[in-house]
Formats: sequence, structure tokens, C-alpha cells
Amino acid sequence: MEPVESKNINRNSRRLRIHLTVAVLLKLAALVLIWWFFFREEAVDINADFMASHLDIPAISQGVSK
Amino acid sequence: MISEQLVDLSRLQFAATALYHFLFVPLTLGMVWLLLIMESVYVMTGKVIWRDMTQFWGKLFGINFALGVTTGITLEFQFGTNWAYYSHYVGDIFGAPLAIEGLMAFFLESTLIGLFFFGWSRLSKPKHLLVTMLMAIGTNLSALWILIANGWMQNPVGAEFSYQTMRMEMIDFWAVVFNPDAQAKFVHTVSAGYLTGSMFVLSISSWYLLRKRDVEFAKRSFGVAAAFGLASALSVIVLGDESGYTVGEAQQTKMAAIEAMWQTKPAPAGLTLIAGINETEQKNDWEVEIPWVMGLIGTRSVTRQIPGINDIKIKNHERVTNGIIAVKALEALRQNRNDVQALSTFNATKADLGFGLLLKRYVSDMAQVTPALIDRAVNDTIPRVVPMFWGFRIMVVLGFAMLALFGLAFFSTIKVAQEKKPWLLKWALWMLPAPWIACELGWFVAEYGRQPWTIYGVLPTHLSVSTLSVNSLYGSLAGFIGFYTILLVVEMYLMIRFAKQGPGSLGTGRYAFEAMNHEAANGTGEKK
Repeated sequence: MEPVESKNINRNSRRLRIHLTVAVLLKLAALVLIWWFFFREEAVDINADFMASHLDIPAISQGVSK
Repeated sequence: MISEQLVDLSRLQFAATALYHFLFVPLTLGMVWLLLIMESVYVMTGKVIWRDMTQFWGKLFGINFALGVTTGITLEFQFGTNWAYYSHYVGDIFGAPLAIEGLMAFFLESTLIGLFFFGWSRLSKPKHLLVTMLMAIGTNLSALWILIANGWMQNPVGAEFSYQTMRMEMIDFWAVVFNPDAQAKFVHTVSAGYLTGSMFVLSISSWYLLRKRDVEFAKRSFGVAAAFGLASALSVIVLGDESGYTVGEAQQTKMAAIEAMWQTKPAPAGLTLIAGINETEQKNDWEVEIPWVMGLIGTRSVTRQIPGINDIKIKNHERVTNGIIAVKALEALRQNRNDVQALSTFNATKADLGFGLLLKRYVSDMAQVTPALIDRAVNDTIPRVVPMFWGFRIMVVLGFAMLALFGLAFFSTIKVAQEKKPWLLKWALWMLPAPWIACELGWFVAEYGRQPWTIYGVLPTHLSVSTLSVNSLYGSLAGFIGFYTILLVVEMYLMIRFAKQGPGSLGTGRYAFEAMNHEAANGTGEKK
């Protein structure tokens, strides 16, 4: 590859690379913010008894055997 | 009981994020093979134009990948945040392919894509080609595992319900992997991706040819896209037919809704091309039909019948009634796990447990079930016919239009006459959105057609959602829509900008608009 060509490619690619890196970082930040504001406090605890209760079925009376 | 609003908002949020995610996926799936073809020609011939093609289309591929990545993470996290009960109920089966898909996507695929972009000056030609090949395989393997997971939602094989853990448990991993629904879905979906990648390259190349710029570059790109696109269009249609066969076997309700087939027709059933559907009276006011075709697609025979919606409802009525017995036996078992009679009843009826659970939408206590409620649950098992019928037909029409376009584009490439047919180039340019519309409609038909289930016949959608607050769902939905809209604008801006610059954006000195690109690279702005 010619040095001048390589220089042009690098310059052009560097700018795009910066745009894409910023975009990916902003995306991750936006996702964290959505989770932080809307889901962080809403964790749903799940186990067999919770599932049964969700289906309006009684919890097991003699312990759950796995 | 679960609020209907909560269920609808959760579905809307998942649908919005999934449809958005799938704007990026098919282009990645298809472009990667086109890059492999272009680079293979470069390695074999040593002609630098083929390297330029690989690098330029690779740049657009990279923009699409970078902006698409993390939109899939949202979906995977939603299984935990919005669909926690679903995740508990079927996580034992669904979690395994999902985890493998995550590993494939985030580690294998991303690593190889990094090597593809940063390896041009660091790897020898054959080694770089090997990286491109592995990137193509890795990308498609990643799709395989997510489609195995989705195929299991359509046709849940290799698993059974445990009343002790209150969840489905995997009993046969290989049955899940080789689920015919998953295999048919995989080949159909990746072929649709190949078609999308081909259309993208064909359309942009056509635009260059219409403007008579970078002609040699555009003609070669056009040729590769035309050949690969023709093969892909044929394969999408043939594999779509296979997908129809497996859907016919496993999900007769979806098939009947797609065909607006209210009554069971004598075998072999005809294919309804178009119809005036009257959902209120559950009939078609008029229809145009091709004899035999539906029977052959759906059953591969001339003697087997495809059940109509009314017959499916009769069968489902029995299953709901049986499901009520299963739920009552489950309740008895949960109260006394040594109840032998309850265990025996449960084992005999557990295949219909999901149908019994459909009633939980209306009533908590099975003792309060009335015949009217059973009828409502049975009606729920049929998705709305009009959106299914027309969604499917628009997808198919677009598929055949693309087949015709790629056939003509391939023919004109053989004749080296691409530039002499501006009407073909304009057609190719205007067809650019077609594969995306078809892909989104395909997913709509597959997922909406599975309703009222998240896992067909096993777990109703309304029992799968997390008990979030409605305000959280409204807020997060607004957040996703706003965030994704901005992302889409950025994607379109970058794609259009670099597509307009063309191969000149590589800065090699061999293409049009080099001066413009050098100014852009130096940060002095664009000029036209």
C-alpha cells in the first residue's frame, strides 16, 4: 500500500471510528439510564412458590424437592 | 389477575425493540457473505479493485454493525426485566441457546469483526480472508442459536413441566437443537438476510451507475449482488415453503389464520390468494383461490386435510376442558405432593396444562369456570386473521418482486448491459426498503400468529409478564422509542453520507469525489 493512500485511509477511517465509538458509548449510557430510572427498583423475585402464586396455585405444603 | 394494560405494554415494548433490532441484523447476515465473495476474488486475482470493494462495503457493514450492536442486548435483558415469569418457567430450555448466542455474538463475532477492520495491514491476504470467512460463519452461527430459542417458542419439544419446580425442564437437548421449526426458521431467516445484503449493494451500485460514477466499481458490485441475490431470493422462497410445511405440522392455528381458512376444506386445499375477510361472522365474503397449492405446501400430500379455524376451536375446546383438570390436579399436588391420585391425573392431562392456564386471564379459582369463560378462552387461541392474512401476503409479494428484480439484474450482468437499462437501475434503487419490510412482516406473522402464547400451547402471554408498574413501562417505552429514533437518524445519516461518498471515501486516489473526501477527512466540511 502506498504511504499517501494509507495516510488518507487512516484519516478518513479515524473520524468514522470516533463517531462509532461515541455512538456505542452513548448507547450503553442510554440503556443504563433507562434501566436505572425504570427497572432498578422493580426487580421481580422468582422461585417456584412465587411462580405458583403468580398462577394462583397454592404454594407447596411439604417443601420443594429438587 | 394480571392487568391487560401491563400485558399489552410489555408486548408493545418487546415488539418495538425486536423490530428495531431486526433492522440491523439481516444486513449484517447478508453483507458478510458478499464481503467474503469480494475478498475471495481479490485474493485469487490480486486485482486491487476487489480489495477496494471489500473495504468500502465493509465500511458500510461496520457502520450497520456498530449501530446495531447493543440493540440485541436490550431484548435479552427484557427477558429478565419484563418477562421474569416467562424466564423462570422456561429458562431451563430457553436460557441455554440464548447464552450460546450471547457468547457467539459478543465474543466470536465481535472479535472477528475487529480483526476484519484492523487486520488489513497486519495480516497476510490469505489470513485476512480466513478472518472474513470465520466472521461470516460466526455471524450466522449466532443467528442459529437465537433461532433455536425462538423455534422452541413456536414448537416446544424436548422438555416437560415439573410441578415441583413450577417450570419446564429440558429432557432432550438435541431435540431442542434439531427442532424442525428452528431449522426451517434458521435457513429462511438467514436467506432473508442474504437477500437484504444483496439488495443493499445492488441498490447503491445502481445509484452509482445511474449517476455514471465509479462505473467499474459499481458494475462489479452490481454483478456480485445480482448473483448472490438471485440465489438468496430463490432460497428464501423455497425455504419459506419448507417453513410453511413445518408451521402446518406444529402450529395449525397459525397456518389457518394466515390462510383465513375458517372451515376445513377437502384435501388438497386451495391457496387463497386474496379474500374479503369477515372476522365478525367468521367467514370470507369472497375469495380468489388457486386449487391444491395450500394442501401441497401444508401437508406435502394430496390426501391429508389442513384443519380450518372452526375445527381447531373444537379441538381446543377439548384441550381447555382437559387443561382445567390439569390445573386442578396441579393445585392438589402443590398442597399434597404425596397425593397419588392427583399425580396420576396430572400426568394424564399435563399436555393440556397451558390450555387450562388460559382461563387464568379471567378467573383465579378454577371452580368458578363457566362454559362462557371456556368459550372465551377457546376464542383467545385464534389470533386475529386480517393482520395475519395480509401481513403474510405483502411479504410474499415483496419476495417474488425481489426474485424478478434479481433475475433481471443477473441476466443484465451476464450480458454486461447493466448501464443500458436505466429502468432496471431505478427499479433496484426504489426496491431498497423491500427486504426490510418483508423481514419485519415475516417476524410479525411468526410472533403475532403465536398469540395468545409465549410458548405455544405451554405458557400464555398474560402469565409471562413481570409485575412491573404501568408507569415504569410507559416511561421505559418512551425512553426506548426516543433513544432508538435518535439511533436510527444517526444510522441513516452515516449510511447516506458514506454511500454518497462511495469508494472515494477510501482515500485511495482511484475514485470519484476524492477531493471532497479529503476535505471531509481533514474536517473542512463536504462540498458537492
